[in-house]
Amino acid sequence: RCPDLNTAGMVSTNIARRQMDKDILNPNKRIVSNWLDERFIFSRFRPIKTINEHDETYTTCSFSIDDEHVILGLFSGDVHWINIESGADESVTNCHNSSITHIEPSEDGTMLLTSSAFVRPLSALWRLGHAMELLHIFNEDSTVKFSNSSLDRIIGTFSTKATLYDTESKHALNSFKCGDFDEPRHTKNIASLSPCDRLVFNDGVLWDVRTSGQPLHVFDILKEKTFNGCFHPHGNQVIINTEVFDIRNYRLLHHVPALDQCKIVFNSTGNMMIASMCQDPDAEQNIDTIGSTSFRTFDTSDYSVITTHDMKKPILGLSTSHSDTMVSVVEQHKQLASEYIVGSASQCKIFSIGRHRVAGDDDGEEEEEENEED
Amino acid sequence: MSLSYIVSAKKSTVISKTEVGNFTDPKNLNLILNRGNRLDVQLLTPEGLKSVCEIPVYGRITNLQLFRPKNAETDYLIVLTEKLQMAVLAYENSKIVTKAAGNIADRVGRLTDYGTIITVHKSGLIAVRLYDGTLKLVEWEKHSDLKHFNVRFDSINVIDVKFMETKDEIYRMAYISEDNQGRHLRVVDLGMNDKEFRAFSSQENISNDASFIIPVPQPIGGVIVLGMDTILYHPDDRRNPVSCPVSNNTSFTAYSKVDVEGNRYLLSDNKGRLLMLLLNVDDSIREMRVEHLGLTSTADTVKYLDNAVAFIGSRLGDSQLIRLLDSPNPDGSFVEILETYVNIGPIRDMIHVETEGQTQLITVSGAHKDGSLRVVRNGVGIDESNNADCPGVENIFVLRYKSELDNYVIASTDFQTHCIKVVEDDLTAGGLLDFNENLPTIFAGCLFKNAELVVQVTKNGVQLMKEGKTSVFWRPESQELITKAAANVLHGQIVIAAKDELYYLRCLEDGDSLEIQEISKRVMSDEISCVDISNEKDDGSKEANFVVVTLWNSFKLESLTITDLVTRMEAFLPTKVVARSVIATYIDGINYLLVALGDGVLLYYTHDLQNAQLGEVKRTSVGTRPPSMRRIWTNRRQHVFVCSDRPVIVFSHNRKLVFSNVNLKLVNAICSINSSHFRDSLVLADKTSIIFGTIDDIQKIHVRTYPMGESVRRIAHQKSTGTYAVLSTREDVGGVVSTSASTTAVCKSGYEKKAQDESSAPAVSEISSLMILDQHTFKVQHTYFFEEREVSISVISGQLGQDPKFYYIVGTSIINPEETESKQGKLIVFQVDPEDRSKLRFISQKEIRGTPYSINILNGKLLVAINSAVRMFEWDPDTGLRHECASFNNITALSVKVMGDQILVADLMRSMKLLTYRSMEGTLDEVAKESNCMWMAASDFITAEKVIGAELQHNLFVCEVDKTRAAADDSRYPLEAIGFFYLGEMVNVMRRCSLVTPPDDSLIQVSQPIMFGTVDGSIGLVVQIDEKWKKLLLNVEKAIADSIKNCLQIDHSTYRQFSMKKRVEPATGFVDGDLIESILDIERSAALQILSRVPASGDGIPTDPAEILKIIEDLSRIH
Repeated sequence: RCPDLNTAGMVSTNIARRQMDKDILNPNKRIVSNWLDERFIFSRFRPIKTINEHDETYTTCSFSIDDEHVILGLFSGDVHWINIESGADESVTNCHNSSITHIEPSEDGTMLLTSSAFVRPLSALWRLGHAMELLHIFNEDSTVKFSNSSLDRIIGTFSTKATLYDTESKHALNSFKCGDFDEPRHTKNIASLSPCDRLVFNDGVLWDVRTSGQPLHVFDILKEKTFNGCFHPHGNQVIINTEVFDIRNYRLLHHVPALDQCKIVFNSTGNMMIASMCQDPDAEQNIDTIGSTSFRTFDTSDYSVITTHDMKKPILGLSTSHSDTMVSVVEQHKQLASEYIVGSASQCKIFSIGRHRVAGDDDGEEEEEENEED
Repeated sequence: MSLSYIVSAKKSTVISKTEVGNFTDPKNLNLILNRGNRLDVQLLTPEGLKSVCEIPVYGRITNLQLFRPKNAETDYLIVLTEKLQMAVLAYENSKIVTKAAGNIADRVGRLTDYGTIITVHKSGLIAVRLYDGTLKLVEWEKHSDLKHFNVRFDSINVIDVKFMETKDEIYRMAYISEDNQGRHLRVVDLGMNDKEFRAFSSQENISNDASFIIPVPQPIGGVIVLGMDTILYHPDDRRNPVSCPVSNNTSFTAYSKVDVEGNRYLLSDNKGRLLMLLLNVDDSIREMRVEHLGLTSTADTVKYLDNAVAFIGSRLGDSQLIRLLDSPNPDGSFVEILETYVNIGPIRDMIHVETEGQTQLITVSGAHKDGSLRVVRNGVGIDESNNADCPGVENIFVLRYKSELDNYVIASTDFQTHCIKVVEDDLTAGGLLDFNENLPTIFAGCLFKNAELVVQVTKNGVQLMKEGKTSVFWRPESQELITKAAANVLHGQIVIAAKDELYYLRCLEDGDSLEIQEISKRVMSDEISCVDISNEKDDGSKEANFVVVTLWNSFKLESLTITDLVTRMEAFLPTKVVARSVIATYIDGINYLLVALGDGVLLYYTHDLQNAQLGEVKRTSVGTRPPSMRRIWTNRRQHVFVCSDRPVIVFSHNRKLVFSNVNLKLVNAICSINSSHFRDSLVLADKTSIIFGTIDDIQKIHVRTYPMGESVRRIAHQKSTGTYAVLSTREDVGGVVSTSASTTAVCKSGYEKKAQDESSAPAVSEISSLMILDQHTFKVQHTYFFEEREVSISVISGQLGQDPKFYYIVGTSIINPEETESKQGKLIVFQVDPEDRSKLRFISQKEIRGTPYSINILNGKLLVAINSAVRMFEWDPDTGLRHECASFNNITALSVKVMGDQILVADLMRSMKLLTYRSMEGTLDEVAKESNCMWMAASDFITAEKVIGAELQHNLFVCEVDKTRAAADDSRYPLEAIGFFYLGEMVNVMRRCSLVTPPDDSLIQVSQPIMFGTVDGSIGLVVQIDEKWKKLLLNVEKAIADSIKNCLQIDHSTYRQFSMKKRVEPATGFVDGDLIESILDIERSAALQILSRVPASGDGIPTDPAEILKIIEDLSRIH
């Protein structure tokens, strides 16, 4: 018989109680209490702004490093910088010739990586200044990402092959492709570097960044349709679609059905994550490819779902701000037009994290200054 | 932009980590205490603990570990800080030496929830568990950086890990891991070549809350695992484990090995129980037994020292030195408390109260059974050694009659005189010669060196007495009654004031007869109110050569030569209040004239005797009653003591007078005494008794404790009724009434728990209450109990609207554990009956939807932070509270502070913002907002446009409304962060107040004091310093930081840099007062040497090191 779980001495899930007791908790319990506060914050979202002032469909979004701007990628390949406070469109650059799939600002705020869907060059590196200045193009790579511990490296993904570039010289340093598999094992492979930049995860295979000959480990693909995988920012786990593995002994730690086919973004501490099944704006419209209309937040200590936020419309893109205050979501509000018809089919909604969906004024004296959407 | 000067008024008192070993010498047993950012090294002596040294550490210490390196004779100390700086320290030649230091942080990895653990193998290999899933091994070589690498655990969640003691040289470890199935014990061998663990043995599914591993020394070997219900012994070979049950719900907090063999262990639990674990060993452990020893403070660390003496370090209560007894004392406990070390942490709330001129802070400290209220005052303390009932004493003199030492105390009331003989500590009333005990004594003393002549001055005259001789008597020719007298006993000089007449007398012993000579007489222009005699250096061993008098109606001060009573100097006092006491004294190379006025004001002049001139008048307040001044001798120095309802001692600091509060309520009279028993002591009289005691030389913080025995949380003060309101919760186990404060109230009201069904198991419930305490006695007058699950959260005292009555307003919340946020609460208005304070009236209540985290009053309206909103309520005496307006946009508003019409809101994670109340429109408008993510712990206004905040990662920051930047559309300005500082402690409360009034004659001016209380039990002060001093102070800070090497071998600037998760900001806008004032502790010449490196800091700013040192001394006087 398993011993009963003893709840005595556990940190309360009620925030009022936690606030009252946080000063007498021992340091370890205080960490738990702070974690639960974070969980509390990621349990509620409130729309604060909607951006829908462009003629083109938004396909992806990202926050600038100072969280002052939301960077929107469009179907046309344009990238817009929108000031969140004023709503002003402060910069526009035509980066690619097809819809933008990925935008990633560097942590020091000096560079930006963009990726697009199908017209070459697929990806590019930009220097940020008054305008975006093209530094390098990655012709073949469908997604490019910065390394994590520094900005020295960029990792690109071309189908099942991952290529590691030196950011300074733009030379390819190494590439990782597992010869055992001809077919991509993931439906949407995006190669990434581990938080310490010592490991590469590409198409379900783990590599040491220094050697491209022999992979460290090939993870079992448990489902026929497996989305891509990513490292957990805390460095011990890799999340492959619905499975969470320990990267030290490759043991399966959690099975999380709710993560199936989801794009995952982490908050600043890595303790919480937001996941949503994002629709591919370029894909053929059929029932199978319609993404989810909601995003979910997870507590990464046990991968439990904190909350499900229903947008009622398909989601195309998802991003969190760097200070854990906002989430931006690109949602489709019209039927996606074909690429020949100009017209916007999506809007970007910005949510404030931690606040109730509805103004909580029961006495009805005053309305919020920021209006509710919908 | 001004600068914030931050300094600790009282350093942290919480003790949660300790180590015992031979640190300072192979023969010495040392106890090393973690005091936040200092290491306190104590030595165990037969008399108890003795402080050896205190080592400042640039960081918040999280771990301490002593270990014995190979071939070393003493133990070395490993110190680890919150920012993961690690150092290996040793004590050599009375100095701390850093053997190795470095940062052991990894770039990635999640710091574990289960706390950092250091364990050291007997070979000297250091292992640190920092991050989830890995163990860090640290290698060190003398005088180099630390090298470290990680070894992976099989499991991500490791609760505790320890090196085991083995027979052979292998690195065997035991750890508790946790997964979905429960907790397991694993024993592994560490391979140093492949840096991997190899499984040796394991035990699955051990107690679900097993949290401690105790390695058992050889030859027994193995480990003991402490769990809530069981204690388990797991041997280091494949023999069977042994377990023993523990009475239910014992959550262990610490352990300590008692004997070297490892047969006995002291254990402590979270209820403050001390237990002894005994192993029955016979080639292997046969059985284990747990014995209950008694209650102590709730221990966070227990260390067995020697000879049945142990140390209990506590976070929630006072720390204790205890002795374990062989047989129980009358209350059944085997624990005798030898010494108590006051701990005012965690400071959960703090208020500033001024009563009867005493400035004090009341802190709400500790929790559970160790909850208490603490009165914190700044001043000189009196160590009381004896006390005798003797009401109404107004004047005290000490005689040295036929003795080398003092042996008589003359205590005079308004009607009579008590003549008390002092033999050892025994006081006996009894006459002395012809001493007149039926009249009050104006002056009494023994004359000349041989001390056989006694003089007594009463209103009727002067009497001179000697054994075997006829007493002589003198009285003024005019038959006027004597009102005042002053004397120099060693030279037999007496000056008498009788109405407007002034006499100078000399007492002589001429052969067989005694004589009182009237040397001179003078009739003053007005009645004399006080008189004093003195000389050049106010030296009692030399003849007095001048007289100082003050006059009643003309408010005149005159100085006269003593021999002919001719006025040399006169001045008018700048007052319309009569002078009640005057003293001409000499302190620190300067002559002063001090005049105490009837309204408690003390005037002081520098006194130029050569030219008979007075310097500029300065004034200070010493209470509300007419004070009197006396010269006293303590610590071989002469001081002036001002007796009043707020007694002070006049010191000189830096050739400036300092008025130090004495930690006493009221002193009517005082005199120095040096008897065989009371060495270098004082005898003083208050309303009811005569007290003997000694005095501290330096002014410091004094703490008085009022134990409450339950978790007190908030406090408010109401001057009009003389009461405190205290919010508290206590645990109620199945209706068994514990003896905590709330149950001892004179009157009780509110919710009553229904009698419990006897058949059901006793339920543990929490009962929340409001207590009304008397402000003097701290006795609970009334307790109001709230309903089950209704928890009192916030309280304030004040007037609402036009209603002249004073109310206590309490905010409560219904807390359901299954909800993440409370949806219901109440605001309740109470009134304490001004006549009978045990009566508490429930006036009105208002239901609210959420938790009222914080309450304040603005323009007579109630401002309450309720969940995500800040709401304003109006008061109507007939209908109660009515909601007026609200401001939203918070996640959870934790605190509201008010300055004028401005409101400062601190949010759970969204930093701070300013609101303004527009009374015409009846709205709360957001005017400025800080946009960063900051998890707030405390906040307050510096000015209406400048605020200070403390966040959970132990940092402070200052924000200012930035009007240079354009306001956003909704006329909101940004609140720009302009100051950053890593404090290393979590601030829990901030108040705009100060314990010390800054002296007027300070070179450097400070303003806007804010005091803060921390979870670690320290009280700090932040003041604003004028722009022009900024450069100097920063230069001084840098010069000192550059000259002092810290044992962690990191820079001061690195230590103080703001760091919050990934965000790092250099320390700016703050000056570290603790560092700057540390220069006052080092030798003056060395200090001047350091200060000589301070570069010029602008026009009119001193560059001379001695001048700068004076400025630092001035700064040290503000706290």
